[in-house]
Amino acid sequence: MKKLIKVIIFITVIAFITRPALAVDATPSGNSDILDQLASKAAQLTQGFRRVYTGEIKSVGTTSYTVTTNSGDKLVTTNDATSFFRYRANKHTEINFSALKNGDDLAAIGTIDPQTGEMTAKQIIAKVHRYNIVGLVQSRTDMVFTIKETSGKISKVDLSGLTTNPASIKNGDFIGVIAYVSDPNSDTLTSLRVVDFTK
Amino acid sequence: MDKEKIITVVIGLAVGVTAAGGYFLATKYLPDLASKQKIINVTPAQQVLPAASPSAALTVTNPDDYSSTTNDSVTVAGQTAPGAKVIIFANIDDRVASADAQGNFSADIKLEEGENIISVTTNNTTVNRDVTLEIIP
Repeated sequence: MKKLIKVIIFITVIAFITRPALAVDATPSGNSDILDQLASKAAQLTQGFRRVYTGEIKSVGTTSYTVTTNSGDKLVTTNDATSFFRYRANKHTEINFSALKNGDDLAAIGTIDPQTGEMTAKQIIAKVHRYNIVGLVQSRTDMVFTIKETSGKISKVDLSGLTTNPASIKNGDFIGVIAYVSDPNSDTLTSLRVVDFTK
Repeated sequence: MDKEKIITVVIGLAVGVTAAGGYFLATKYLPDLASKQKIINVTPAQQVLPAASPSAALTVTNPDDYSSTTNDSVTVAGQTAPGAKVIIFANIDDRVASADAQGNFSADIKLEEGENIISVTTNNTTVNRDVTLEIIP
């Protein structure tokens, strides 16, 4: 009986020692999983990384702009490879660095240094900033509508410049308006487009 | 060779191979079983919980905020309550989409050159996405 137990133990040990040879095909699979996870993480980081700064020019340097964005002031540097455009009246025109001044709105597309947040711009597009206002019409005075947005914010918009007639829009309607600031001293925005979703 | 030795070797081999094989198969497949079990546990919770979680009332998964594109349209997609109407409103285009039974919605929206702000609204909640259409000279 003792001999039997010894032989069983010996063969079991031999079988365990040879097991890695059986499992050798599992190793590439394990490495592949790790590589897949790394690739996925890298893709997430790339996608999550901001490639656009939008906002108002706070100051102009020799070859750079400081732009006030929603996430603070950002430095946007330009070089010979940067292209400049102005978008107005549904068309774009090519401009140059010096055409942009303090207070202009722009969108800068480029690569961002993750350490400093500084962008090297590939393209800069100057365009008057649009505001989206989506909410309920609370009241109207002539062509100025007071809208309560879903966030609770109250906005006033002048719809008189529209080609579409806003006469059918009434209190309680749920509307969407694209507007811009035409007079910085006024709290009323000027509308470019309106859609009545109640209809 | 006597009969006792042959039986001993055969039994020893069978036990050894069974133990080694069992160990190998367990290490290979048990993590997969564990991960599958994890998905099974999570999926029903994700289907049931959105209404209870205010942050899950409206989620926009595409496009990324402050992203750029060279295509003159973008697919706006996300999740909200099943069957809910979703208003997607942008500079030059708008859509009213319906969420499916799983709460998923999707619609293509045209973009104008430069910055576009896309407002996605449902259930008194609005999520904005800022997308810039690159100008191709």
